[in-house]
Amino acid sequence: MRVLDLDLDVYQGPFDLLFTLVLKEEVDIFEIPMVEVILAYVEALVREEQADWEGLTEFLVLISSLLELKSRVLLPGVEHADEDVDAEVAREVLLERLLSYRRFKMAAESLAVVRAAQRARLVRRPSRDPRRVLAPPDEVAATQEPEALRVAMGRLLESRREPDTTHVAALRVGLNRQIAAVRRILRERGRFSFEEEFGSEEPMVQAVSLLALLGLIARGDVRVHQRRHFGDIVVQQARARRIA
Amino acid sequence: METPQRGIESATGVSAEEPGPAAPGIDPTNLTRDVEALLFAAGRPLDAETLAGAASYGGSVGTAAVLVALEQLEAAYPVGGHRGFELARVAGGWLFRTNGACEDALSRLFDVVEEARLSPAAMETLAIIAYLQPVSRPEIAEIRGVNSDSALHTLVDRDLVREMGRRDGPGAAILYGVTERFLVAFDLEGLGSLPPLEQFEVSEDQKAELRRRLGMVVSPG
Repeated sequence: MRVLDLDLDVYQGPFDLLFTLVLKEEVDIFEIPMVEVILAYVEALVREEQADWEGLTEFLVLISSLLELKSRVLLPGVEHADEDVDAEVAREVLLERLLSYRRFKMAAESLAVVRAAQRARLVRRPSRDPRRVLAPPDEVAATQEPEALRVAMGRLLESRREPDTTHVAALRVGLNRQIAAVRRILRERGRFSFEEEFGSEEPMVQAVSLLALLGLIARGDVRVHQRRHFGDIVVQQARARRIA
Repeated sequence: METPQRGIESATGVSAEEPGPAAPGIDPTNLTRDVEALLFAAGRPLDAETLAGAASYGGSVGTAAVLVALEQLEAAYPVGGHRGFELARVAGGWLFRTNGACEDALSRLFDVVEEARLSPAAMETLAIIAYLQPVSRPEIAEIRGVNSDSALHTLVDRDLVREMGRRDGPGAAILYGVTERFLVAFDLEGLGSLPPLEQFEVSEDQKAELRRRLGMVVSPG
């Protein structure tokens, strides 16, 4: 039996190992030292920090197929005695998997050659971020397609440009500011209609203006009239006191 | 096989067709100039629709007009030609890159050789994904006979492979496919440009030899 220097690290898995042994090294299956293959694998396994259970089961499947094959070669008489259709099928499956693996290994080698030729073909990096282009709403509105949403979200995240918010005006409103506003109007006119004065403001401004009004009522600074629920509020200066 | 490319089908047919009158209001010289500028600035492949969309100042610029402009630029910057740049059709679009013949000069100034190598395991995994996409992790492991998770992580990290959704059914395995970056790195117009997988079949002689060495009955005939 030939002594083989088996280093599983060099091989890209059991199929690669088998292919190398059988085709490149021209080893017949009855020459493959199973113990060495298994020991090399176990050693590699020990070195691994994390157990690769999927790899382990794959290896067990492969090595048992090999053992089965080898035992048939070593015991041809026995094989003939109980010709097993299942075993024949299993061998064909193994061969098919070997050949399938081989195709992709060769394809990978051919891709690597292409890649090596590409290394001097440099592409310059863009000096500006692409303008943010959002997916047309029609494409993603009410979509049931997760992929469409993923792409839309991706477009959003890929752009590092800050969104343009110049059209959004900051809303500046505060209680003291509105109290001052109410007082100023009363100083100028003595009374006013809340609807006329604040009806066309932003909802937030209206709400804070109403709070200002409530504060002024509580202090007795203003008097209000409202003819019906949800109707207009007429605001006037309280007669008894001067407004500072 | 699924190909992510767009616009190539129409692009290949354009030379046979009459260029036709450009859309009204388009100056072909300006259009070619704009397309050239867009491709220079992009740094990634742009398809004809994207170029047409960007070049449409005021009126609409037809994709057909852009394809005519691209033909002119391809003639001016042929792949492997005499210019330092070449205009290549990759990943379903057009891309400016340096001429591969300039490797010596470029490598004296830049780290062109130092691009991180991919391990054989990663290359095998990449080939499986390129040919079979969308494909799941267990399917890749089945073909390679080993767990391919770390190879897959490397490929995702390098932006050569991306998740493409999940398979229907139990487990809903994540499906993987290649990226635009892959197509650029491997000089492919689309996945349809990959060499046919049958090309990598072992020869009948090798197959017979394999059977013999595995102690299998040589199939009759």
